[in-house]
Amino acid sequence: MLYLYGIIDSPEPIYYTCSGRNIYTLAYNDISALVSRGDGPMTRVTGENVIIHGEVLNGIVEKQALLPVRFGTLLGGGDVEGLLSRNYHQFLASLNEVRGMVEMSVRALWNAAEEEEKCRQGNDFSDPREDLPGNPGTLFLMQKRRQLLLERCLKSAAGIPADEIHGWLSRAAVKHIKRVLPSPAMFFHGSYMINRERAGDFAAEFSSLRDKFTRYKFLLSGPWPLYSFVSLNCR
Amino acid sequence: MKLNSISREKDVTLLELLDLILDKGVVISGDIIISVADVDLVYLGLRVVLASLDKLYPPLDGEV
Repeated sequence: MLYLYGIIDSPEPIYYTCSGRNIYTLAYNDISALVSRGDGPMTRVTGENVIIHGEVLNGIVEKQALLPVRFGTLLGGGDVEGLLSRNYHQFLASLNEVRGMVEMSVRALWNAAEEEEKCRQGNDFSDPREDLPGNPGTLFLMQKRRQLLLERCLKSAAGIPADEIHGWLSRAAVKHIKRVLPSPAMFFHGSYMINRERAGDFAAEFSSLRDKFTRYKFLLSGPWPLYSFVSLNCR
Repeated sequence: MKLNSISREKDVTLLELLDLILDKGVVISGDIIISVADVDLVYLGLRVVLASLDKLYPPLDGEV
């Protein structure tokens, strides 16, 4: 069994060790699969396995164009060549697209309780039908309606600063993804595909942004391999 | 940098990594039928291509 970490744009043999794992490549034409010996326990979602998976890719991403594979992918030893040949053109096209690029991630947090209170004070979520005698089913639906209206209000409130933050940061990006209110406390999460050499410029833009939006808390991470911008499903 | 700051930074890095590698990236999917003696036992639409269970999870010392 082999554990698959990613697909790279080099047919030359590569070998390195990372946290006790021997990492090597199996080539097909001008691309290769980045693998190590694998077994079931390596696919368990533990902190150690997750960090090793990330470190393996960090060890190669600065040298090669890389398509990172999702965590926990095992292959039979004889299946690698088939995988690469069946998906060769798709892999090649994607590698050309990601060459020299990295992913930066920005998350923004707000005071969820405060924002919820603003929504409740600024809107009347009640319904006159709530005063009518009703059965439990009706009351349940009324409660669901209130919840839905609150969620809609919060999403709308999050959208305004999210749009502004994303507009600011996406200027420096080749591609970008915006997520509004992915969780109650996180009103914004943006992913940005940028040229590796511009990572410093992006960090500077982020610092300016943080100075402007002082009521929010921000998290910048990266550069990462392009996990969010590689949406291939392969067989 | 204080130790608790370092620890918190590591936790944040781990969470970010979890979000990326568990949910994103290239997906290799396969339809697997596990069979014994031409009898199809289990059909699995999986993200992995598997071998038999004893190859996946080798027995621990003393375990059968």
